[in-house]
Amino acid sequence: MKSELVKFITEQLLNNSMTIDAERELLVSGILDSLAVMSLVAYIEKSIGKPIPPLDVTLDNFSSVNNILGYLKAQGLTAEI
Amino acid sequence: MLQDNITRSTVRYPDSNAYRFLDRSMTYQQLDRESNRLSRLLAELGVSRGDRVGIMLNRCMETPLAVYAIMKAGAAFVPMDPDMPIARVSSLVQSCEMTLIVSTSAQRETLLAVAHDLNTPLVVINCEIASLAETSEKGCSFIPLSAAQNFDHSALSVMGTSPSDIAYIMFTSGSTGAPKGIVHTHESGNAYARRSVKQYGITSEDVIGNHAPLHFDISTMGYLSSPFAGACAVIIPDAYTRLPASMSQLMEDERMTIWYSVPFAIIQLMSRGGLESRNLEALRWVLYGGEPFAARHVRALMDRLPAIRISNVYGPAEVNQCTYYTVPSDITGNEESISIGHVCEGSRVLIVDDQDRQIKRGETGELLIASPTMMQGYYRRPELNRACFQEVDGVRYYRSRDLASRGLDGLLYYHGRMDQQVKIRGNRIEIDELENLVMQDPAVEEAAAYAVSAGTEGERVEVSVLLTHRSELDTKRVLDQVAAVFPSYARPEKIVVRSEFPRTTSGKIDRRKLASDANVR
Repeated sequence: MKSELVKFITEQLLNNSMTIDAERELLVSGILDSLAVMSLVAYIEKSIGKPIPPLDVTLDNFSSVNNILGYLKAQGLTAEI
Repeated sequence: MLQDNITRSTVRYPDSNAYRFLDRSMTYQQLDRESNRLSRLLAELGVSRGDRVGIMLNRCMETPLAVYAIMKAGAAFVPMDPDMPIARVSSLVQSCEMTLIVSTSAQRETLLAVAHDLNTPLVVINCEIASLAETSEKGCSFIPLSAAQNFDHSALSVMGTSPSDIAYIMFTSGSTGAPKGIVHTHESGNAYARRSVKQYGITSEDVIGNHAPLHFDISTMGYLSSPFAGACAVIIPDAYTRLPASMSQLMEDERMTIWYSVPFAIIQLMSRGGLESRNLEALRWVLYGGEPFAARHVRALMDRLPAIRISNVYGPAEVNQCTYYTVPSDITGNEESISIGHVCEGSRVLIVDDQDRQIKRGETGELLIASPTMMQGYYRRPELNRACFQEVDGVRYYRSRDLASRGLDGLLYYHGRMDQQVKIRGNRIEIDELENLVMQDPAVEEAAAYAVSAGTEGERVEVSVLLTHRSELDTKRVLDQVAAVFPSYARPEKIVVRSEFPRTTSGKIDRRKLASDANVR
């Protein structure tokens, strides 16, 4: 799932205007704006087939691809590290 | 002078928080002393009465410091959106003859490019905390904010200042040609601070949620009104404006009493902010402005926060708000639009037809506004100023180019723009400027731009084009051109190629039809 997330963000959200890796901070840096965050959450929900509780969409859980995977793992939603 | 509000609040409430940002607090005494120090540094660097100093910062604690330090040095602050394309930054710096900008090293590339572009040396006060040394390269000197510590914390004395001095200039969207700078004096700024404090009953006990960045006039409540009352303004961090759950958590943690933002932020809070899980018992008033808010959303907000007053605030940035309306609790949510209410104390409006005659009740016309909070004029645009002000019976009115009516109930109603200005999440876009730019592309014969709804996600700009004979559209080329000149909220998501445009009976492009076609798609 890691590479799919990186691909989605790079291609769909950033229009290939820059490259990111799984470690890259996405929110405080402003790389993703409000609409991008919403699209990202929608994409993840579609991938895992479950809604993400709005209260879980926080800086800690979503600031990088690695953090997203960490959050999903803690919720038992992905086996990947 | 606006900075007198800081002095007064420091005397009365020295240890009360003036501003909060993440886990940082700044009391009135700290704000007073640190802005004095910074004003002395600015004076040392040559800033003098009447100068224009830029503030190009993302939301941070240094913003109010810069605002008051610049005014204390006798100069006017000029908010600059950090996301502005370089061409716009250059244009702004040049029109204001700006030689000093308060910013951070994150803007280094942009500032170097501007200094190079204008062939003019720039001095930058670098607010990046980790930065301790002065650096200089290619026409730009970066001086750390910490250099202000070398100066005394007592007030700087600047000769000859007066309330009619320019306090700040807010530039509105204007991409091709010179952007329009809305000039506010200490007088107009203080008139707003004084009136809004009275109107909303703001006291030193209040905690104001300041969502808007400095370059947006809604931020004047946080930066000007709050210190007038000795209240605390919480600066919402940029990242939180993208994370409604974090934003609502902040509302709870800071025990915010007043929230003021564009409708889009409120929609985000309601749909994804988990408001039902937050303790918002401290919140007493939600104010929204910048663009209309659909009645169904306001109804939903009232259902979610039943004990809280909700008001619609209206007014172009040129007048810094002139009417407001506390939404009655019995609205159904099916109303076509929510009233903009009554004129604020001290302001007057006229609604006129195209011959400038006052219209009858119930009829729609252009709204003219006279207010002590209004701008002095556009910065160095005498022709524009001649056209946009109108004297009626000895009173100077500003032509809003907004359409309004007064209902039989005595309330004012907003009916959209006379021209092609559109707002995306509260930000102004001059549609014809965007269209003109797209039409510069050799493949494009005609272009029409309009806002399309993205549901709860707010709105986006879309452009439809007719191509020149036997051309193919290089979408990337057009989008790149737009990105070089327009800020992100004004950039179209899509360019739709059409074989013809829907037209009105007078032959003009029917942009409303284009927008509704897009909404159906």
